[in-house]
Amino acid sequence: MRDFACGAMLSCAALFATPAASAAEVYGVAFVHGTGKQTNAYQDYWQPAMVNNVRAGLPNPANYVVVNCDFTKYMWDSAAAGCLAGQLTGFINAKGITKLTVITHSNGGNVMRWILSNPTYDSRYPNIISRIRWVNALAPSSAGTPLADAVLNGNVFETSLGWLLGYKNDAVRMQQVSWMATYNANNLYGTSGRPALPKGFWSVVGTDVDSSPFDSDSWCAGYAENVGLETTQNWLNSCSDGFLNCSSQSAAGTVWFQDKSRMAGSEPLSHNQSRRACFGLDTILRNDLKI
Amino acid sequence: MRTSKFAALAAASLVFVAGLASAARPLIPAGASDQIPQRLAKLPAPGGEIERKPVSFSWALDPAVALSEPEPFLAESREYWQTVEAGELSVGVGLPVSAKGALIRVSPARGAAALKTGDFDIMQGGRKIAIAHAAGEAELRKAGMDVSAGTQVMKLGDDTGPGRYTLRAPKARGAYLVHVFEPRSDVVLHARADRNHALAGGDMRVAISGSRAGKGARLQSQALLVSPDGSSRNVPVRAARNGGMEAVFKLPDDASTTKGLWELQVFADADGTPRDARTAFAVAQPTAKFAGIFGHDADALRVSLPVEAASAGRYEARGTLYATARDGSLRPVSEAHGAAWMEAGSGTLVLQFARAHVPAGYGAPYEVRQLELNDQSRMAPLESRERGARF
Repeated sequence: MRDFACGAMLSCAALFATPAASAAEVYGVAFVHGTGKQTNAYQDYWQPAMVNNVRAGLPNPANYVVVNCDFTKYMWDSAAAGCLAGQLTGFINAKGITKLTVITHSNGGNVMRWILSNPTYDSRYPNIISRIRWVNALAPSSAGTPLADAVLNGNVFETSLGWLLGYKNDAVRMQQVSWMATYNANNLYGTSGRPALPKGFWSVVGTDVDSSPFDSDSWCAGYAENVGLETTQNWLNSCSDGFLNCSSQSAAGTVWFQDKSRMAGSEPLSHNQSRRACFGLDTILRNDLKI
Repeated sequence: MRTSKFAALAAASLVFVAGLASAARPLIPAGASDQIPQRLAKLPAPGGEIERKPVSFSWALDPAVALSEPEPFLAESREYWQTVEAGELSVGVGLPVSAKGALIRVSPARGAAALKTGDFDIMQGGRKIAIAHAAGEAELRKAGMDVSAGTQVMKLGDDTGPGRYTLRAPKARGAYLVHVFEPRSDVVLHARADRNHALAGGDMRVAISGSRAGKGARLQSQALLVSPDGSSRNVPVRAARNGGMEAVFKLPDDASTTKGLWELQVFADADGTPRDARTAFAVAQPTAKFAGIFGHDADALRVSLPVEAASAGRYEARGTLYATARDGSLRPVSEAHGAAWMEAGSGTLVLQFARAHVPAGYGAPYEVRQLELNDQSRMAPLESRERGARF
């Protein structure tokens, strides 16, 4: 749909902005990680090849920020969305950004969607939203994942055992399927029947996992062995990226593309691969930044 | 600085409302599915980092895209859990299984001995069953499933069928949680709450049903209401008039304000197969409510909403502006939110829609629908009206 509207390799900005306006704009890109507490997401989460190849699509490739926050918390928490708002605001102000593309992965899409859906929760949110061009949500966990339900392991038993089995963090709790359904109904926008988000939220959907020690493709940030995957796939649908069902990745905003339709060699993007420079994903994201 | 700005805005709001006093109208009478607080709760001031500045925001909606209230989540379970002690495991624990390919997961409680696949025997009718596939904590975590320490998952093969299996682990020491998940089973437990959110002290209903191969299954069930702080209480389950079962219960007046969702956890037996399901919903302490009237400036598309707050907090009004199209139908054109910190007492929240969001050919009469009042400081949906105001 996005390709149809904007052209396969054209920037939407090229269609929507006048040349004069483009010249006056300052373009930037932000990388927003998924569940976890990151202190060096550039090295540890995205890795330099992904970040550097993508930001090369900007008129000024120095206008980028790699966010490091604590996304083990609920999406609205000051350490999650609050931290994200702080880092985006600092970046926008320091660089004078007027057109910001936000690239999220996994649960980072939920934290970003919290900001877009709740603009009055924090006085920094409106300015961030007004500067956003659009959000490219890589494998967003918009409708949660059955694996979050599974790891919580029937939490009443954890209660009865005094949480002896290991209390999972709030982000995992939040990404249970029934919890995300409730948050989507009460607190978040962009899912079916709910008001649209104030800015575009374009998802990239991973549909399959190549996992074999004999398949070199599975080594691009993928799964080198399939012992665990063969088990976890039992919790997921036939269309999944090994962590999220396609239905969850497609639940909010608009599907930009499914992996096999755009990746080199029609390769799928596993959940690990959709945050790395695999099969041309970095090139597609780089071209999307061009004006 | 923040205080003086807020005071100035609050004063301006009061003047604005006073100026519109002659235009004040009652909100549209509440519908059956609307949530309206019937009492107000006095709570201590909320803790944590909470925004104090008033903020408003609006954006355009596509009138061609219809909006609808999302259905509450339908939980579907093909799984069950049970806790077992080492003594039971060492002699054998019975596990009903309804389909081939079942997964049996064993997680040790703190202090219990971690077991490996080779430590388990799975038997049926005195015959040892081969484990088709197994994975431990390390392999599962590598695949993105962050299981608890010492967890083992064993999958039964396609040559296994329904029946009662025995899980035995002579080396067990301590307590264990055994989880049986049957992704290919046609025995399913369903549970669905009647709402996505409710108020403390209010009534709630969760419909419970079981099926086998798509047809109704004989069901026995119990239910536990679990709050976000982990406390729980039993709630009664009874036969429903239209078949199946239902848990109808009153939410506690003193419901915890711990952030997170409430769950009704259902433990059932469907035609002899155990099944457990979880539903989730939000529960709010009614700290504030709309006063039941609104003022408006039709030219500016501004709607002011008096609020009665019993507790200090940050409150937010949000609503969708529907405009009348040439064919007479009402279509969504704009979304507006307005939030401010309020002390206990009376206040006003303003929804400022943008004239620019109203497409050519659309105009009055307008309706504000999906009108909501939220306690942002406690993550609580307080009041919701499908149809709020018409002007």
